[in-house]
Amino acid sequence: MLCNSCQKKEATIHLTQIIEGKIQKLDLCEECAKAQGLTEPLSGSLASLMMATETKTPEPASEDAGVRCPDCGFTHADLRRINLLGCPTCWETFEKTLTPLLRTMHKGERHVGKIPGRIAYTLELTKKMRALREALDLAVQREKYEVAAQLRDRIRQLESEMRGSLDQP
Amino acid sequence: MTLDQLLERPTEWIASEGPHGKIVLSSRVRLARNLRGHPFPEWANRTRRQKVLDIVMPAVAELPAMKEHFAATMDSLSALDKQLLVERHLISRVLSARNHGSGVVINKEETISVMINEEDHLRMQAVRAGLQLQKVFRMIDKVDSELEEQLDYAFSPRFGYLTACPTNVGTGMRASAMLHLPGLVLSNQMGQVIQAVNKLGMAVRGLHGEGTEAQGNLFQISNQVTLGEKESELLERLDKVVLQIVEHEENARLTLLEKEPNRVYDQIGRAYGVLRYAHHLDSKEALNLLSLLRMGVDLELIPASGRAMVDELMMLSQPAHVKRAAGRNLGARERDVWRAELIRGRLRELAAPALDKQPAPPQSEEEAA
Ligand SMILES: [Zn+2]
Ligand SMILES: [Zn+2]
Repeated sequence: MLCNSCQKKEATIHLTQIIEGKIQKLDLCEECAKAQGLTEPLSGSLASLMMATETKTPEPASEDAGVRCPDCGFTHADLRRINLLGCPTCWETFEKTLTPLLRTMHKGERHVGKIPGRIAYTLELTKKMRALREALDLAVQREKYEVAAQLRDRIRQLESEMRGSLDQP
Repeated sequence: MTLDQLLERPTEWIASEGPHGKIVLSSRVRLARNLRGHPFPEWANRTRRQKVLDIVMPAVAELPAMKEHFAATMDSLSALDKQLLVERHLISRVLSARNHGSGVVINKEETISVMINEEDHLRMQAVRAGLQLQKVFRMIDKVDSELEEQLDYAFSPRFGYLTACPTNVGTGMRASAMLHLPGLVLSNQMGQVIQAVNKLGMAVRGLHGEGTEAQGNLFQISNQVTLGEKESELLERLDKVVLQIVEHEENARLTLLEKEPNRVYDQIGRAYGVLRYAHHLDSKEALNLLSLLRMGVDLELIPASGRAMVDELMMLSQPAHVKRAAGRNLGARERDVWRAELIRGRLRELAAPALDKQPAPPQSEEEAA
């Protein structure tokens, strides 16, 4: 990677900042870093370092180029212009563009933190459902029809529970 | 309650001292949340924004944590009101630029504020004095869980809480600590610290957050990653980084006192002299000098009662607060005269500092302990 400042030397100092909600990266060689006050005391140059101004806009994944969000009408051109998404559904609509971007700014691309209670409950039911369906397949394979009938009942019950939890706001 | 009633009360995190309070002024955690089926504020038209405001504002105002609160829509606030709230870190500059369809709810203690239709439908934050990120997180987590029962949050199992900007998706959490680092600045080490902190995936910003320059030797350290790590992990990592910086700052101060005691005494003495007798102070100069005075309190050169006074003055000497104290619109020069008078008046109450003697011969750490 070349230094952003001189475009000649190899960059050895890498800075990432999120300023006004935009990702800004600064890759500098030792010399330019020094010249920009990176190793200097608090000064104008340090302040400018804290607000380095290069902005990166995500390139569209080819699949997303002509897409329009069904919920809000947002297009990739809009994303480039305002640097923000249009609505929650845009996350699905532009998934292919967003995924590589997330990899560069976060740790992985899957959420592992807090889950709203209602959704946690639904996820739990989904997991249970998967386990029940697997058990049912196995029971049918082994021709244990009595067990299979019981499992079917439980699946039906769970299905109605899941519908209930999804209907609730 | 009215804005005046809110502003008359002492701000909780300024009036009290928290863990590591000499160096860490405050801990702050904010969560970004959005409603399913509504366009994000930047993309929404006025009607759609108003609709979200009408749903969210009453839900927030009725929370037990917000029992006594100040609530306002942005179009009902004057430019000065907005500026006051920004200077108190209760709203962001982004929100202060909004009018119709945006609003804010702040609790009486000024420890919780919820911005509505800023960049996301909800930006809720909690703040406390000193370094106590976990506690602050629990405060805002509770608010979030209570709101979740009434609001239909946009959430995907894969991406987590969906936000307008990809930099906030996942936990939607930005935790930060406000640090006072005159020792590292005076000993020219701040550049290296910023570099090291950046490499650890944390951001360093100035007093007023995104894109502001560092004044008064005040720096905010915050997490950048919001996706792929749990809230508890993010907080723990930030806590560790902050503790390391605190240790560096303590060492920097000790080294300065050992190697250049006269320089330290000179800086603090001059700061006191100017603040005590100046008749014309702009806000930047005032903040930088107050910072040195605060270090003087930490080094026991200035009476301990000075710390809370300095912290309060750091807030009250900001432009909108000076205008408010004056009760009328002032030009920049008039404001500088008012500011100097305010500071002189307060410092008069402080016992004379122990700054007129030669620095005592430096003590080694073992002796001091
Ligand atoms: Zn270079
Ligand atoms: Zn959309």
